Amino acid sequence: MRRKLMSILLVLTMVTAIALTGCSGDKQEQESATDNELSKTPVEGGTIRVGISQDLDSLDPHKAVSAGTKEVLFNIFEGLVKPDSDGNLVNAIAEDYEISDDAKVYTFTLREGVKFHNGNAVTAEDVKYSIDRCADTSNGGPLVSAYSIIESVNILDEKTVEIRLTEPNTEFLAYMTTAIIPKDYADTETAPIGTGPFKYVSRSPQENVVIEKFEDYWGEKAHLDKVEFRIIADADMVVTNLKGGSVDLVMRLTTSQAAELGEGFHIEEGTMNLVQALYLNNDVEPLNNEKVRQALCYAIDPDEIIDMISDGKGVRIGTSMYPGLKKYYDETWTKYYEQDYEKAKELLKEAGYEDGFNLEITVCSADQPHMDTAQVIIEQLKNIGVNATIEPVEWEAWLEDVYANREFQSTVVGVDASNLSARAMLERFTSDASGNFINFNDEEYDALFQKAIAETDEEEQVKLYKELEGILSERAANVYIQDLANLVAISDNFDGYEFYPLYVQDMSTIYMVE
Amino acid sequence: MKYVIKKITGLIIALLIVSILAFLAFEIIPGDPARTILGTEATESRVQALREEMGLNRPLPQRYGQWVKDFVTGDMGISYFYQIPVRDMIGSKIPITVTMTVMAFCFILLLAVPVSVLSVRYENGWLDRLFLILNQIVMSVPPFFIGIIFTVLFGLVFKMFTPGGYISYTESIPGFLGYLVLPSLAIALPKAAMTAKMFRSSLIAEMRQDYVRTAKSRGNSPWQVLFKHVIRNGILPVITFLGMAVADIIANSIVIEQVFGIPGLGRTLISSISKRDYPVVEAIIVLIAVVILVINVIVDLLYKKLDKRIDV
Repeated sequence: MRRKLMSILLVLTMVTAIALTGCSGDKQEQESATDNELSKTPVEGGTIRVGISQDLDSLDPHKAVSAGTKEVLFNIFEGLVKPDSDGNLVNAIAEDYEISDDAKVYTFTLREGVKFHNGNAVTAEDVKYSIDRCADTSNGGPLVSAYSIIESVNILDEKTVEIRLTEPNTEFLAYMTTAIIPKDYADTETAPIGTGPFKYVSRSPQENVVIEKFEDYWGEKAHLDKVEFRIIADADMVVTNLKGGSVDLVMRLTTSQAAELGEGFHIEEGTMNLVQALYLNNDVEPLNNEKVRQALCYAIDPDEIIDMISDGKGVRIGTSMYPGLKKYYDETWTKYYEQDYEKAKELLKEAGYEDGFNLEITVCSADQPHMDTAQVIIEQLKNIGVNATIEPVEWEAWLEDVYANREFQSTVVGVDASNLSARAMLERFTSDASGNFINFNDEEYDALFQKAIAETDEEEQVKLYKELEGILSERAANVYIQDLANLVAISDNFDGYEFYPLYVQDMSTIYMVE
Repeated sequence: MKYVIKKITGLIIALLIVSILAFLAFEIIPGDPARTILGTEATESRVQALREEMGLNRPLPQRYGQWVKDFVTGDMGISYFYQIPVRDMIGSKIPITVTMTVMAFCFILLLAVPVSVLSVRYENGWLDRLFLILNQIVMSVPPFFIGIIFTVLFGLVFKMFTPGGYISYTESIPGFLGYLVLPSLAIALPKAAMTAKMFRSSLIAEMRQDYVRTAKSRGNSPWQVLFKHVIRNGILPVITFLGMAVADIIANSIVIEQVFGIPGLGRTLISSISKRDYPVVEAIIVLIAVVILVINVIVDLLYKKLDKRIDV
């Protein structure tokens, strides 16, 4: 009997051992498969077709507003400086710059030999024209709102442009990414001309936008000859189109879409560079009570949301700053609130909402991740007696009702940064900011913000910004959740994709492999 | 002449009503085109300035009057979103939707006529029964679902076409036509099944008529009877249905264009609605209304031609 048992055990061990080695064998095979793929040789030339979900809202880089448009136009246009994939600002059309000690005068020396796509050299006139165009107030306000502090743009000599500000601003360089376009060129809206690694070829509404390699680019030239951005309006067709071979690259897939793809594609994982949160209208009952907001923070568990909606992909955050802005991101606030229903109920009791309340969450129905997130939040809030419901709306209605008119209780949305400064994320929450759609009103925050932007010592300034992030977290301005995962599917025929800490899709680094 | 005047007046009134309704719809739904264009970074003063520039601050009747005036003179306005004349924009989309509609219509005829004639010729035979079952199945599947099945089956399993790989007619006509075959077929199938069912019962009713017996007794073969007499008479009720089918094809093409990624009028309409691009939406709606009204007139005229007894 004993012997029999022993032999059974022995067999079992052997089977498990085989099974285990079998598994690891598979794994090794997989690894070598990716090795093979990487060892394929890069070749120059070729065309890539990139699937995008929305048509571009404008070809004019100064008028384009949607992130999806800006990330495409990044390939065609450049500013005096431009962001790199590490989140630094590097010289582009400018070769060098100097900032005066009082941070009021920025002087740029233009790079030699930068050409527009029409063959003309970039002159100081073009630079002045482009910046003046964005600072022009004749249409109710400047195209770039930060340009309201520009006093004058002066051409010192044909290679030097000086920008004078009415007040000190140490971070103004981040706004100098504004595209430089040819002076008095009237057709930017239909036939744009820039200086980027790709030039515009054609577009067909609701169909595609085509760009091709600019041979005279001053910097590292693009590897691909041509890029076609194809519009895939129906999100359900993304996987079919990738598998069927009508597109080679699609950004921002869901985890289930990525899992469906299978062979022939590799998935690059990054983050979307935004702050997804349950944004709370700090001006309406009962959310105007700090204790109520804190209670919501204790009730909602970002980790569970990330697990539920994207299999754990995504980076938990605890304040209005995402990890991509490395310099300013303060990790200490990430776990400031850990899920604790008892504490949440306690806080609600103190605030006088012992029996809970009704909460309406307005969500743009086309944004699946936000819809899913709201769904999980509803379940989590049930535990503290808060009865939440989703109010699905169209993006245009969201823009008007929630963002512009601030008529909402709470909303799940992602807020991104338009440039690489901390200001881009934090200025919004000063009490009189036009983008302060949550009506956050805190004297300490306002005062500290003024101090931070006036600070000329960079290290000190970063410290102040981090303090501001702390206030947002402590006062529970919003229930912060995560920086969403950005899964990019790329056909195995291509490689070289790079993530940026901004909304940017750099096509110049992508190359074909054989 | 009186008939023509009557029809044209009716057409104009219908168009006015349609365009007013479209205008009103945009007044009611939330969303502001100026704000949509300027996005989240815009300040209130910029939104106001743009509204002023776009003429959105004028009262509704004034805006409508201006639009009608421009439209009649052939000026459809400028697309808010694309900043190109609406006429050019729609002009480049019309060939796509028209091709698809014509193709789908041909498929309906090519499928429905032989099926129903064969069913009637061999009434209650195995072929008739088979068609009856197939008809019932095909009829009950909506076109968008057939479209999805087609993409998976022909696109991913048999690899006969590239899903989402639409080829523009400016690039290659055969490629363009080839890509439209499956979407057109997807639209046509349920309609073809319905047409066949209707045509069959209409023909069968005709076959019971006395003149058929007379024709047979004069030595005509069953095929001769069918083609010389019965079809001519039995097709009348079907023509009305086919007229409505064209309207249906256009409606369905809006959905099918999404499934197959075809940048035609339908997709332009949907995206323009969500972008609050009124000039484009108005123009497409009026255009579709014109097509449908004109088809109605054609159906009336055909009736008159086929049956001299009908006074229209």
